[in-house]
Amino acid sequence: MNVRECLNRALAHLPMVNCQDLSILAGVISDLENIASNGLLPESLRKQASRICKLGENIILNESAFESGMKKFNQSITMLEKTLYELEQTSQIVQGNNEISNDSGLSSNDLNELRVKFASQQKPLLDDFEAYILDFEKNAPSAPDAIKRILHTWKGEFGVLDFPKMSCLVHNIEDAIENGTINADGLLKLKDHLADSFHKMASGLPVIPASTRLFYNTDTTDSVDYKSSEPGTKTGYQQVQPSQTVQLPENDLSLVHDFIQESRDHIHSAETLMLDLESDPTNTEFINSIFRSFHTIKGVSGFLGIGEVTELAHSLENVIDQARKNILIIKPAHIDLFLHSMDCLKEIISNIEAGCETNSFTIPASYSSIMEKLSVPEIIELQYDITTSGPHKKLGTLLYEKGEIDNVQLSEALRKQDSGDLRKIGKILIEDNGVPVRSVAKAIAVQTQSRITRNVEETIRVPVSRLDQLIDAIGEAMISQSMVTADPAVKFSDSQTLLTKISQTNLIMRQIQELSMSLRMVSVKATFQKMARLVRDLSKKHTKEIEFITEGEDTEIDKSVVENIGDPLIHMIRNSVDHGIEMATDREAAHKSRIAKIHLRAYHKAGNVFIEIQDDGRGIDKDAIFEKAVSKGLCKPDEKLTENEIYQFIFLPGFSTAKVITDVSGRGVGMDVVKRNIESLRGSVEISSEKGKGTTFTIRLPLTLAIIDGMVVKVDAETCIIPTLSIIETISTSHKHIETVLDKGNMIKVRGNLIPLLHLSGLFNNNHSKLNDKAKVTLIIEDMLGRKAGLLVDEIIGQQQVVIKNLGNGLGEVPGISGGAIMSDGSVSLIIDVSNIVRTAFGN
Amino acid sequence: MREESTAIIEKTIGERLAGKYLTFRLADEEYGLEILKVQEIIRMQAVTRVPRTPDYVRGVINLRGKVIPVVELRKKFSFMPCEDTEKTCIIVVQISSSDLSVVMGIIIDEVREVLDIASENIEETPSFGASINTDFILGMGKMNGDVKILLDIDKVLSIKEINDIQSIAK
Repeated sequence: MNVRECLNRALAHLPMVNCQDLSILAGVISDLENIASNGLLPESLRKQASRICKLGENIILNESAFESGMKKFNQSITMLEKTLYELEQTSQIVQGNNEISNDSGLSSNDLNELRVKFASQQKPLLDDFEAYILDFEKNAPSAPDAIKRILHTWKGEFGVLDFPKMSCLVHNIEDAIENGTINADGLLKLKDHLADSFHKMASGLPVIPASTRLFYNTDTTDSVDYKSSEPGTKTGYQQVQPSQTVQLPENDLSLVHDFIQESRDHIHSAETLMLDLESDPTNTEFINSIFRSFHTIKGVSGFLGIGEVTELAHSLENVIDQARKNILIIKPAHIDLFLHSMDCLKEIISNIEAGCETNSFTIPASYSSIMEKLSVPEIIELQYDITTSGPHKKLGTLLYEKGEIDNVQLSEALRKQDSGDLRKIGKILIEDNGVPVRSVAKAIAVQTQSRITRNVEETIRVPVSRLDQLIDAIGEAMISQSMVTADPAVKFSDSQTLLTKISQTNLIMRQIQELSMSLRMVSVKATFQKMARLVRDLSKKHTKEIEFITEGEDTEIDKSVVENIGDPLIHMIRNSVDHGIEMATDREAAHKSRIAKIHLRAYHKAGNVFIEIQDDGRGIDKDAIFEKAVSKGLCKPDEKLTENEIYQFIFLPGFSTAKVITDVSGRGVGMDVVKRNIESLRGSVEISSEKGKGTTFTIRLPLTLAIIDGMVVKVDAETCIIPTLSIIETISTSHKHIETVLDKGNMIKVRGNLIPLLHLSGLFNNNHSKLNDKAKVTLIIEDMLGRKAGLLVDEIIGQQQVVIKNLGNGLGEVPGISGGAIMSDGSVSLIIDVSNIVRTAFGN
Repeated sequence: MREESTAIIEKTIGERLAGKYLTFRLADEEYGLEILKVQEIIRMQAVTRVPRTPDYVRGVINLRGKVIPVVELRKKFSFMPCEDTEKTCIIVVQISSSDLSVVMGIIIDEVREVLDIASENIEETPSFGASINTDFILGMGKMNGDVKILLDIDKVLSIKEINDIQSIAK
């Protein structure tokens, strides 16, 4: 927290200190303590602050008379303020980069900036939201809570960013989830609407919130009175009372405005902390911060004479205070109550803002029921004791839900614990009730897992260009480092210490490089989730029952690749759903299960990333494709084509065997796009299909920026690198092994099999068949299709990890060469594109 | 009237091209490169040959961790090739075509100096007849009695051309 803010708050609270209520003074002191302990501040200021703290403590401890003590205390704070002011003038204090709260609240410019920032960061949350909706549809128990949690965050954000209507919309949806008047379709619609709104917000366009009605279930729309579902009318509460209007005490308007802004900030921060608290209910730091926020609101509202706010804040404070003193254990139900209370508080504050002119404001209808609940927090605790469905389930609850123990056993064990048994609940259950150790262990595993997943990693957003610069720079550092290591002066140095130091640096450099490589890698999860949504929508549309299974969502690919596989995947999945999967009745007739399956997998293999789309539909009709190809004049009717060659036709633009063009597919454009997109990523698509059983599309993608293991070979004067993964074996070769076959060039006989042979130097001279005496080693290489070829080189120098670099935009793609690598001596070696070479060997 | 308009064009060409040029020697001629196109000048170093590229592409080099292509300007201009000497250098230039900017090296015989050529010393490229394309020449700079050919490097090393040739090679 900013020094200025601390001090201002302390100053604001000072007038409220009286000898009956010393807690306000304690708040002031804690603010001062903040200043005193802030290591960034000059020593003099901190000393001054801690002196004042001492003074205040003396007052509280009754060591100095209240009247005179307060006078001195006031004077000292004024002095402190003066010192701070001077320091600010000479700008010795770095003003905290607290963009959100300054004394006068938010200027419209700041607000806009915040909005844009907020909106542009919502994508991951939206993705999560969508995933939860899909879970929700499958009736996953944790989904409604997760959805509500996200909605609540948004509601809060919308409130802070001054989008009251959006906030209201989200609020109504929250209610609708509680009442079950909204289904997954409605929520998905909402998600789309929100995505659209965020997009507009990010580009600074006005946002038009949709009517809540749009999202409700069509059959239940009538039961929800839309007009009355403004935030105040909490349908979840039984005691709905008419809103009442209260007279606002006469105050300085600017003070009220300050109060409104400040309270909003406090509520916002408390709300965020609430969510954290939910996952970690015993964290005293969270509890204390929340307490402080409410305390401040209470203090200021008391000062301004807004009794209702003071009361509400006071009640909240009371409950939290109990938690602070460990009398009350925070349960998700409490968090819900707090969040509801804060909604109420926020509404009162908005009403106050609206009512400034008329000096009156309305109290929301939920007010009294919330106050009632806050007065007896223990009741909620009892209600929720066993059936808590929060993300943080107790061990006993878990076991109970699994059916390992019954209600009696659990309550008995709990009673034992209450009566002073210090053993853990799991232990009690095992020792006294004979619950199997294994099931307890399993439950503990589940419990810890849910804890781990709640630990969201903190992230920071960095422009991609800056990241690339960093990665480039690290790559350059790597190369100069290895040049230092390879330098003769170092290599043949006698100094042992120098060598130790250099090897140490090498080690660190390698670590840095590995880290830098992982920076650009992102998981395919978000893309896969998008596909899940697509399948869901399409299956509804076609009334086909489809189970969509994703595997290997955590597979990481370079960011740019992930961005570019979205479109091809959409086309392929559409194809699978539209053409591949049969109607349920047809499936039954074919003795298959009614529910079709589509698998989407991602995995790493052989230095590539593979993405597979597998359906169990009707498969590709080879004959139909062949007929179509013949009718289009693409091949002759009597031509003998392999399966794979036939499948390749479907990638041709305008090629479609569909007799009817639907709005989903059938124009013959999709697969053409797929092929082109994937080839631009230097990947390939393969199809395997069995009629009646299903089809599998396999996309192979390279790991860009990847390091590959390479075999360094020498040909004439050149050094080349061949990816080790595609080398099957190396054979020392002499002329007698090589056979020349008419029209097929050279072949090499390996254990009785003839394999086409190329001379690598031919790549440079454009004459692969010319052999010279220097060539002594044959590398047997294999491409993606499993075709083998021999590659004749002069000698093998060694094996080495190299970083693939492209040959500069100026050269574009060079056939036969997949890139360059910088060697330890600083020279460039070319990396051989094995699949291209093999293709050359096979003459196509 | 007609004379006046020609004068205006001449003036604009001179003004447009006036500025600093890096001059270098190639065979017996001196050429100028707009200084803003030049990234740096490096000594001749080992160049890795790249197969299946146009013959004027000598290969690639490592420029502090980046691999960049190097073009032999002599071959590009269809001059007689000659052995590299002590003075042979690589000028690293930035070429921009419609949407992408590319860093390339050009091998030249000798770097001379940086010249500030005033607008009155710059003349339009003389016409060699319709069949000869002089698009890659910006203009002629006169300096101390010499004529320096000011090159439009973007046109000399067009990315499209290199890519076209490669696709033929495929």
